[in-house]
Amino acid sequence: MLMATVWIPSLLQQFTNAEEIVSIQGKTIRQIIHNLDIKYPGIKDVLIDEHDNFKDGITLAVDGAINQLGLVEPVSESSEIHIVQAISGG
Amino acid sequence: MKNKSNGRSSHVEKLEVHPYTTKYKVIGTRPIRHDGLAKVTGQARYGADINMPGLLHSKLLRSPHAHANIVKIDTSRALKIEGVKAIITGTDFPITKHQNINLTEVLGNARNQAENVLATNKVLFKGHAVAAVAATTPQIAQEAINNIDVEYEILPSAIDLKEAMSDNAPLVHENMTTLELGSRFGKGTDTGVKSNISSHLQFKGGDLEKGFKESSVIVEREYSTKSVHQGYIEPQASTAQWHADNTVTIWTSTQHHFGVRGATAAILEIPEHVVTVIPMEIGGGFGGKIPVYLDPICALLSKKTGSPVKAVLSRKEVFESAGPTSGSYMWVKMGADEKGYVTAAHLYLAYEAGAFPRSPVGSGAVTALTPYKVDNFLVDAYDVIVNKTKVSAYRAPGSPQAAFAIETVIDELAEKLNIDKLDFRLQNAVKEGDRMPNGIPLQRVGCIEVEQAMQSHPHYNAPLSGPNKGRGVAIGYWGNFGGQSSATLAVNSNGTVNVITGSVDIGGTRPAVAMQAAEVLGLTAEDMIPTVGDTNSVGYTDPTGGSRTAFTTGIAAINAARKILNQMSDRAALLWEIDSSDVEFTDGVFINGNDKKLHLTFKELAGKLLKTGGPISASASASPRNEGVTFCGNIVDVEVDPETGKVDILRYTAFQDVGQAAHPSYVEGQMQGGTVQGIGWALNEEYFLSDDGTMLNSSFLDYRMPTSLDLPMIDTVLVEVPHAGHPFGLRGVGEVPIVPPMAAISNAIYSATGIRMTRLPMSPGAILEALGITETSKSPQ
Repeated sequence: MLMATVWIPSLLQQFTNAEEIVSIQGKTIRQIIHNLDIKYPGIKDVLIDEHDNFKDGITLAVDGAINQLGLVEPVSESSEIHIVQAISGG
Repeated sequence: MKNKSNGRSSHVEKLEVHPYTTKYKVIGTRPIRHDGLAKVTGQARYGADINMPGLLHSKLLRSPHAHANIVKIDTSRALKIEGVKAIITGTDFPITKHQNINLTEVLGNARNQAENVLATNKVLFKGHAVAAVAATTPQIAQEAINNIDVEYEILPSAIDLKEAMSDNAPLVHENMTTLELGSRFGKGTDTGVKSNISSHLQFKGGDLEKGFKESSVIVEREYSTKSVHQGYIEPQASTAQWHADNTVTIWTSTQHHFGVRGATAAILEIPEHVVTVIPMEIGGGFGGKIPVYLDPICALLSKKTGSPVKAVLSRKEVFESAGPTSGSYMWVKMGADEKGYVTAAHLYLAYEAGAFPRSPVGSGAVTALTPYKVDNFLVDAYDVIVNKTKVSAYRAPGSPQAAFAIETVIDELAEKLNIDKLDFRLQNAVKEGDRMPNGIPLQRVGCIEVEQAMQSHPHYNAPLSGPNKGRGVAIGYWGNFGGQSSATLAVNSNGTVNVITGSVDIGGTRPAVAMQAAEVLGLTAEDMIPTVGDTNSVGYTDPTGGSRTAFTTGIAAINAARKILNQMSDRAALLWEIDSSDVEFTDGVFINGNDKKLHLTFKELAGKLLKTGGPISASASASPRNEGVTFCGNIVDVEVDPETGKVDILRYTAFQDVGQAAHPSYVEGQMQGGTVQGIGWALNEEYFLSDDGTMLNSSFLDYRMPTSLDLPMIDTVLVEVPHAGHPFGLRGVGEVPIVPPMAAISNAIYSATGIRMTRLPMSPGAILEALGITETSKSPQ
């Protein structure tokens, strides 16, 4: 079964047994994070707050594009997902 | 041709408009900007121009200490002064009664913003405001300020970056602990260590040790930069009027009036819809006018007094309290093999955040290595709290500092390998598919094209003869920001179109956005009437900044224009009694597909709208997922005076991948403006602070920014690699120009003197010190 690949930042690899790239199933970012947390407990709390929003300054990029839909962002079977900072600018 | 102002020779015989051609009818042309006449004749209205009956004036009392507890504030003497109508302190903001400061939540946290605007229990930097007065005249307000008594308990302060990071440094926030991965990037792991380091971010790839083993040359250097200010010529100014129905109107100088609305509403704990923010014309921002400083104060004072209240920062206050960008400490170690391929890169970045978390160190960590294909890397980035004013964004925030370090090391590696500086960069340059340090693959980008343009430009190989002269190059990268924008278009009876957007116009985005809509509608730029709408007049729009406005607000305008076309086509079909699908539109003309002799121009059809069903208008928003990134490069020639250490810029050429220039003159203006700011950052600008955190050069006389008399023309080369994420291929252009100048100038100084400068600014005194020249010696030691 095809699964999306999630790239894990080095400081979060403590949750994934040092794995940098993991395969996770899901059709939305919400499902991806949920399933990621099942496989690697505790990682969800790093990403999502109690209001079900991304934590301050964090977002996920899907297939190279910054996520605009939050947790309902659709994900395909071959998607590549990166956990990144939210860059602004001046 | 001699430059009359300074006698230096210019390399061009006459001022030429850069030869530029476009495939579009409007995009890529150079119409006169719609707001130009008002601005050059003084008719444009700025924040400080607001006057109205009963207007009160506000002044702020500021802390004389960098770090102190506020024991007591006594306003009794001030309130007795005739003309004083109200005084507030930080505890008068409703939010401070119900929320605590949250140092793990920084982005948009209103409680933290309120604390930065007016301190409650503790002052965190010299100049931190502690009280605000509203009085009938500015002079009376100032007198009242002088009669407010504040009792402070002075605390040890952490001013120096490296000292603030040390284990025994005084803590700015007693209970703050360092977060791995950081508050900007997710809560991550709380180390439990109390420290002035608010967060640690890391990017890692490949095998660093292996990479260095494969190196035939390695360069390792330390760098430091000082805080610099955006230097916008117009200070912050705000006027608020609280109305009898408990709504409030704010006129303000800001890059983000929707942000002013949100912050003011949150701080005063009122619904957003009761706050109307009207953005005035703005005299520069560069990121420094995204935070709020005055608006909640004026709004609350107006509520208390029943009168409109106006506040304008002095230049001294701007420097001392309206966030500069971060000073930094950086360490870089890079290696390359004998063929000139970079094999390893190890970076340590520490940036000052000021009194609250969130410096742009994360952006610096991402952008530093992005121009180069490096498989083995480790980047550690630290966000550091110091007792200084909270930093604010400044044009590609975080990237210029990191580029200063990386681009000079790259130059040194090339030299050690005896490889041409641009050849070295080209063979390591990134292209589509290569990954940035955060792992995201690049799309189609113009890094190689920019460097090729530099290498083939006459400047690169022009003779540069004479002593103490040198040439330097550097590359810059910035990721841009997409964000969200809204636009509303309305067709007038004479065929002109009103274009209302939510984007404050800082650098020509008003015409740039209007031109994109005009291109869709087959009209001219002059047919478009662009206006910046207030928060009640147009949909939510993110700040003007992040190089997003011409891009994202342009897309919103394009989307609205397409809706207009659909409606106009439907109206033409109605008139011709045909199906809408049979209406064709070409070059501003609607054509009856069933009888092509029948046609109506856009203007002819517009004249019929009111009698055939009514006016036509359309709104649209844009939230593009693919904002694109941009690369740029500089070639600079300098001459260093060995007796004074002064560096003169002899010639400067700036290159940039702009995707597609909407209005080439304004794109060139962004390139020139950003370059000049980078030159000032490189050669002159810094915050001189005393040991107690006092800024000693808080005026434009002593904080020396380059003027037109200091520099030659900045030549520009627009490289166009269209961005697939925009209908016309635009890329954001406003920020990246500031990224490479410091490194380019440092490399040029090395070429001229043989000295590697690793500290900014490279002021005359710093140059002489590097040359080993002291007051008592007349030659380098």
